[in-house]
Amino acid sequence: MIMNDSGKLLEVSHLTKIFGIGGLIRRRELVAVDDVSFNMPAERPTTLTIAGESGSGKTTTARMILGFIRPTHGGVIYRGKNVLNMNRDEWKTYRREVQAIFQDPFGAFNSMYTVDHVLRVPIQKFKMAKTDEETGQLISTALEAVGLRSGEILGKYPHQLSGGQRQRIMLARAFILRPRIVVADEPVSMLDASMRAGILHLMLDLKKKQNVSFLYITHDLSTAHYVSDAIAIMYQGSMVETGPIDDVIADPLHPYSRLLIDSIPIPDPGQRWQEHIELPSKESQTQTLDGCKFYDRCEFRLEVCKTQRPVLKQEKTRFVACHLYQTS
Amino acid sequence: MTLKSALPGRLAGRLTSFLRGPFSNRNFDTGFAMFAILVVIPLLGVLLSSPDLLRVGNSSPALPPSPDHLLGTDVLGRDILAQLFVGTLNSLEIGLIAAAIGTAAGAIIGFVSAYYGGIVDDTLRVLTDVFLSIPSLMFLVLISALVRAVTVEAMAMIIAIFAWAWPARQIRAQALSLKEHEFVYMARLSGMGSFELIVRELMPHMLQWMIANFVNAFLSAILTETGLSILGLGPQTERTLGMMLWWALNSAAMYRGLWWWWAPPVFVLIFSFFSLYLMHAGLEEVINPKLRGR
Amino acid sequence: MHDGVLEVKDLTAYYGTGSNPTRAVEKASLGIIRRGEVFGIAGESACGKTTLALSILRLLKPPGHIRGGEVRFDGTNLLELGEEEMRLIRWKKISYVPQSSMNALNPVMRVRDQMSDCIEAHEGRQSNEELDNRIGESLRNVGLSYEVIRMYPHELSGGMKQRVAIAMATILDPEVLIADEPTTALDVIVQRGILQLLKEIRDRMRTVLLITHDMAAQAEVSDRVAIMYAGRIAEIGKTESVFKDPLHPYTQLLIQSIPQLRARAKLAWIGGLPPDLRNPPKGCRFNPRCPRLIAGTCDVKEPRPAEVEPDRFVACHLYGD
Repeated sequence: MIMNDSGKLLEVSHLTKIFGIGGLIRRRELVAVDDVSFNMPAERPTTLTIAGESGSGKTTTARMILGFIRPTHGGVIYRGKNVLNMNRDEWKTYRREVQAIFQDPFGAFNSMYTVDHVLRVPIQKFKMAKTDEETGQLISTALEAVGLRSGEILGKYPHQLSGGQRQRIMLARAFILRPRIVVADEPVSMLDASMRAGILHLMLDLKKKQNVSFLYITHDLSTAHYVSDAIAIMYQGSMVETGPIDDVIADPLHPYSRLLIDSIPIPDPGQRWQEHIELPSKESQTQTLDGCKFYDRCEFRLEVCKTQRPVLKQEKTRFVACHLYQTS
Repeated sequence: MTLKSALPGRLAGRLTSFLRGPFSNRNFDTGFAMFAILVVIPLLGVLLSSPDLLRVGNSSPALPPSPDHLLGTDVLGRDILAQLFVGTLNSLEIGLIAAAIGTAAGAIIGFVSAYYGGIVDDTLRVLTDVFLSIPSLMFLVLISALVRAVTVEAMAMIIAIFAWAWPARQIRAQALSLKEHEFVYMARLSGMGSFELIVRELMPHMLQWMIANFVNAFLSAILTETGLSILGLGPQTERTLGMMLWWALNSAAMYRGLWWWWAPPVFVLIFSFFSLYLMHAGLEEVINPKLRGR
Repeated sequence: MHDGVLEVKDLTAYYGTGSNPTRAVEKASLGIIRRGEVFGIAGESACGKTTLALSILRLLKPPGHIRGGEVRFDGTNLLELGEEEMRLIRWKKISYVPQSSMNALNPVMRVRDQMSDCIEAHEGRQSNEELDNRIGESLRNVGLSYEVIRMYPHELSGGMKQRVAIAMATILDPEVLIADEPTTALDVIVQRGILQLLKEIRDRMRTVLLITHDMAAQAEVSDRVAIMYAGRIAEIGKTESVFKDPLHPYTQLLIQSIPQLRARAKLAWIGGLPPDLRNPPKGCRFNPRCPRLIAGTCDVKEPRPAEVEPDRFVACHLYGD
């Protein structure tokens, strides 16, 4: 292909998305994604988690990486080429190599068709098989690779299968396409606990066997920790901390990271929450335009936090956007 | 994109599975059966009976039902049953044309509105809302009064002026919600272009809605025709169920106790409403499984 | 020893009648639930925990119906009471925060009006001053400021709506609060706040029945926990015991499937699917997926709960029976 492979597989550079909401009269601007930058290396497959709660902008970021939404500023650069500037061939490659798995195992299927549809269409569109036989072969191999039996799956409608089976079919689809990156948006949050590990293991498998990198979007840091190498934590559109996942979880630097990680329930009755936290008692409408977005809820805030927006700076093994760590 | 993607064998298979849904629903089946009766019997009746029965002075006026005239005659000596047959077919024809135009136009508008969004959507939406909220009957009365020679076809067109608004809104809503569904994103990730996506992924969903809308529009069109005709604004020279009632009212049929003149059209109207209503209800249950009695 | 406040014995509830009803809850016994404890009911989707909760409160709607069992509250069997008598108990003595209750708030009424309606429906008309006072205090108890009283639900965030729902359920100071999946769809930090709130309610010597599939939440909050599978109670015990030393094979696999935040032990998962409750497997309902199946026993005879230690129950042929 025309794109180069040196260095970065995916580079997200100053990505920003501003939505205009409200009617014709009262339009407000919502900065969903605010100057986000990160990258994924090309030499080896990695799993990067983008973590955040609602309103963090993680889903919008994922949508921009998949090319469904145009960024307001900044760019998504795949294998050296900006997605918005790609020619036909480059776009086809990008389309095939960057795939996704979504949260709702039911919604990802068109209920009018059998589940075969979602496997056949990409084979046909990307010309991955020349005959019907070849197509069938590709499909059965893929289903086997995800632990499903063709006889039990093909010809059925989505509502006839379980959530776990449906997510596996989605992974089978990814297996067929041999992507370089899979954007997995909360792939297990709608599944029962006892089925989640199965899907997570398949992801790890796919990564190992096919060199697929994953962008794992979630609010559930426990599963993130299980599958990821690195993590980027987002808060209200901005990235507040990024780094190797073990380090960030063991020793979160940003006050929001710390609050988030501490608030995750540990499935061990011997390790219960000790501190009492305060939830907001009323809606706070303040949106500090200049300072740090976490100012209102931060227990370590400084005077400078109110007026100056912190930027990501390196601290130990990671990058943090917090004035507590900015060496002036 | 190619249309070859809908392989013939598979298309037939999909058509049968598509039809299996509605026909397995009890409401739909009942309604459909009733509707079939509504079409077949008048058709046979018209084909098998002599057109003389409709001529003025064919028989003695105001005869009650008898073996010669199963539903009697009107004040001008015309056989009522024969009129009923022709009238039913004409009313159905008006319903069909108005509903077809309305649903097709509405679907296109609704779809364009949802897909393009922005100012196109805003404009079309305002237009739709206007047509939905103004009292259509009033305007139809006005228009009917202005149009000189009202034929059955003209009647249908007039009714169609307002018949598109509701389908437009429904289809728009449906298309909007579908647009955000993940399977649409999946299709894009599979390399489908916009047009192919619309035809292969969205249309099958919308077809169901469009059919349901069509049935609804049909019902509504018959109702509107009846209303306009009773007011004297219908196709004067032709026979429809509404026109029969107008003739009956104008000849003081109720006063004179000629029940066999006004009762049959009323009965057929109720029967057709009911059949269309059941079909619509059945279709809704099929489209939205949550409505099924479970 | 704390005194018992609620006892559930052999509760059975099905959906539909005729030859193939869905056997949603089958002879479920929770034993005696004590005053001042958080009793958790855990299990995955369609295991019957919501049906169980609704049955306790006699809120099950047709085609759901209770087939048998006892629910003893304060000495009376609730299943034998008439609807009028049951109404006096619901909300005043035992109240309920349903799933997605934040979506069940009336969107066109202010918070105050919804809560005052609730009070007056159960206690008759009262003066506005009294109502405001009580509502204000109730909101304070859940950490909401007095201003919330005149807001509409859509002006509040998910977490705040959930707290309003909890305030409504506790305003009449019931002895038992049944919370069904109180943290779904809420952010992590807000979830923590809600769970903390439930612990505070327990600390005021009230009883909380926490129904959730989130095992980590159970570990954080519940004093004792019951594990449900396919309509049956598999295991009951103190939360520490159940987590550190799970007895029932299902519980063991379930605990092993939960990712731990700071550890990376290999997670387990359970192959196969939960059974169709219209046609549950013969014998133990977990037997088709059980790694420790005893052929000839588990697939023939239903295991009955056995008390293997004081206060520790398992329904499994590997233990007792």
